[in-house]
Amino acid sequence: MDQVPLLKSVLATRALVTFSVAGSRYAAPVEEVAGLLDADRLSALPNRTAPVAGVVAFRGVVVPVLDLAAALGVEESHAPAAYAIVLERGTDRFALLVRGMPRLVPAREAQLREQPATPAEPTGAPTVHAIYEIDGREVRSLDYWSLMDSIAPPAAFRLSGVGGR
Amino acid sequence: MTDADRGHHNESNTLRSASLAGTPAAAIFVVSLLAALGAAGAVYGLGDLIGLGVAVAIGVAGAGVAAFAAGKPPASPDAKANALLEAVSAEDAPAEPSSRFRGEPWASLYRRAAGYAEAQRSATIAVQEVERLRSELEKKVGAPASFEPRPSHADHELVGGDANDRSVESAESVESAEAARVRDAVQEAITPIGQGLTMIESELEPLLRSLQAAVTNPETAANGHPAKMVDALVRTAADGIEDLAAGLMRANELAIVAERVTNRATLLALNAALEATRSGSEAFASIAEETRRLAEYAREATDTISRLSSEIEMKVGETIGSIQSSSEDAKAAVDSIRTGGASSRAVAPETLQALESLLGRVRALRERAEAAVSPPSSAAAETSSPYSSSVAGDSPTLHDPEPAPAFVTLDASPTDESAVADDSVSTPAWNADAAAPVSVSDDSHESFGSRSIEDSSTSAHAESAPPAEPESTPSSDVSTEPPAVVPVESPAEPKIPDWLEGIGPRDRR
Repeated sequence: MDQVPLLKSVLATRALVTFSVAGSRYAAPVEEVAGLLDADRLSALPNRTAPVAGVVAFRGVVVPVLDLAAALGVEESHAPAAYAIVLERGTDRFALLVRGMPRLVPAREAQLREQPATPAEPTGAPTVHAIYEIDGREVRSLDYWSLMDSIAPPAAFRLSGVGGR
Repeated sequence: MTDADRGHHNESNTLRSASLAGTPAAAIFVVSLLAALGAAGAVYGLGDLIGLGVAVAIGVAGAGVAAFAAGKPPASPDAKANALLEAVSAEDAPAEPSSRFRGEPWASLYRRAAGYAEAQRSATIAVQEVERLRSELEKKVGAPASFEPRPSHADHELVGGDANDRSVESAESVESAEAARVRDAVQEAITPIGQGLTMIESELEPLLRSLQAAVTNPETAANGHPAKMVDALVRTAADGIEDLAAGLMRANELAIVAERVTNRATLLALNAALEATRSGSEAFASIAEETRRLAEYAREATDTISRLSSEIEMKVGETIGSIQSSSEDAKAAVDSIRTGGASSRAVAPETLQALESLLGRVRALRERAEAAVSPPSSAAAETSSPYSSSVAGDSPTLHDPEPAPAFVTLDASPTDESAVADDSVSTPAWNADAAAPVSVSDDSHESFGSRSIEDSSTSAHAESAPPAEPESTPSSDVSTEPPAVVPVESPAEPKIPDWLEGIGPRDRR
């Protein structure tokens, strides 16, 4: 992604959906969040790979769910109620499985700490779009789309019949 | 005139013929005159007229002095008899005659008159006691009790025979009638006591049997009622623990449900806020705000529910702990009862002995009460009555009358009639479980006492009581008109209670 549109999107966001994974705070711009679901509606998939938790029906479409903790290679200390944050870009949708209730934080309450990071290193680590400081804590905004593409390309979902991608 | 007075007059009449012809003053006067004449003749000679006149004067003066020295004229036998009557009629008259009545026949007459006077005073006291009891009875039942004076044998049967004997018979008859009435009243008072004693005895006997069983077989006692109660208590406690645990689980489930509702509400509020933010719509924003408030309210409610659930859990935990502790104590107590038979055997005999003693005393009291209420047999009457034995042989018409029927009004029940015919009236009503019950009235209290009253009263007025007017009692059945009138053979003489014998008419003092 080009740096300028990325910077514009970061600066233009009106709010952030923040959530916690393994003790670290992460965020997603509200413009890319289509909705929040309870994870009890999650349906597991046979022969699924580790980061993909399953699928969930959202507004009539089956959406793949990515276990963010598993995708980031971290271990959740405890697993309270799980929620699925549905991300939407155009017609593509997928969901992030997170623990703990997400929060909606207005952009005015989030202080941008650094310039958006450069595109991801070839090691495959997730790209950090921005780092915010909310209530004195660091909150990272990642490139979840590329993370999802690296794990489950859209073509695979199309072949399997899963919509949204 | 009382019987005693009549007897005294008879005694005085018999003594009148045996009294002296002259008075002591006249005899003294004659003796003094002769002595003066003799003295004058000796001093002056019979021929001296003056000396004779002096002698006459001296004689007259001596006779006057002698008459003055003799005091008032001597009393006649009637006057002495009246004095004797006054002496014996005094409240504190001595049993033995005074010096004035030492000689015979005054001494024996005094003793007999004193006995009669004492009998009269006793009869008066008895009548007063009966009146008092009647007034109390009227207060209790609210209706006047009939204790009308009964016809006395002495009023119409004193014909022929010696006057003194008739007086004795009259006095004895009055005593017998009054004593019978007193006994009737006493029986009424004793009857409830007998009932209470019977109840106490019936309560003590099962307790004594259970204690005896506990002493002889402690294992059986340990496995008996107390142990079962403890076991049941333990089981109840266990059931209570299970119920409390189930309730606690339900409380936790309630908290979980509330938490889930809160999460859903919060999620709904977030989605509304997302849409409002993404669309920039004010309407969405207001909806999102309301949804957020709803979520906050749900959160507060969930917190309250969680706190209450925690408190309930804590209290339930404490209760469960106490119940478990009590159950353990109860189990330990049961084990000690089962294994500690020696100590039970060491203590139980003392209690058993005390209980046996108590039961024996209750039985003795009940038997005495039964004896006091039960009409006696003829032999018992002969030996126990203080006055019937001395008079029975003298006047068989008084104490051996024709067996007149006593009239007891009964309910028209064949069983009752047969019971009356077979059972003579010796069984007290409170001990009716040992004999056929006699139903005199519907009221249990009245029926209890009426039987004894009727039976004992027949001895006092069996000869003269008109069948159409049976002795009225507070019981309505007894006092009403004829209906089923069944004659009952009356006993010869009611037995006097032991405690009443000691204060009989002649032994009261």
